[in-house]
Amino acid sequence: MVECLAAKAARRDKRMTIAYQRALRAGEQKQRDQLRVAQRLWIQYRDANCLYYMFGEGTIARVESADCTHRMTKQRAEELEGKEDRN
Amino acid sequence: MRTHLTAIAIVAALLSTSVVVHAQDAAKPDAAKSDVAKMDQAKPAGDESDSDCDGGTLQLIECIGAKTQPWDKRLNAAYKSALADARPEQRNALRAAQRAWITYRDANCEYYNLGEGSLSRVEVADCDFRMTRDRAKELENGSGIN
Repeated sequence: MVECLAAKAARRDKRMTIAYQRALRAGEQKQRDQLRVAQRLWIQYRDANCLYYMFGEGTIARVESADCTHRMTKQRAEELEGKEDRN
Repeated sequence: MRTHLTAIAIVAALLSTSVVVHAQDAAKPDAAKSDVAKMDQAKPAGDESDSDCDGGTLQLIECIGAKTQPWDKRLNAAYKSALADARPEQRNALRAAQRAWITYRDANCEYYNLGEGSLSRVEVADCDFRMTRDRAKELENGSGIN
């Protein structure tokens, strides 16, 4: 189950990376710099947030942590895809 | 148009009043409370920032800001509750995650602020709304994990 979620997260990860690169290209220089900052901080937040689930009780904690990564990556991809349209 | 804007101003005023009344609720249970309860049932904390919000840039920003307030309250309550429920080793992780979320939220919404035109300011308000709502929902669900 954990492997399955990780594979799904990898696909979302790819989708997010593509959306991020497109948003970067679409923005002005100021926005580009800010987007890079925001994306770095998103990674820190994602890691910190999913680590919280990892510290939960029992073996389910690992599943929840993997699910956290999947969910967050999907959400971030959707947001970045919205940004492409806005620019 | 004028009527429209007035309606928006009234909605915004009602929303902010409802928050204030809420704060006084616990201390003063009276007839007004049931009215507020009815109002809350009819209008729960909205899921979308733009529903019921219309008008010029300033009105929109004010309206979205008013809609963010109840979610902000829910977020604070959910965070405290999640901290209280967390296992000891989870607590520091949750504090770190919440600090990281705040830093990320600020940087992410600042990105929208750098967009073109007056719409960018509306997008900042919308970003703040969306992120606060989503984080509140996550903490509300996550606090039941343990």
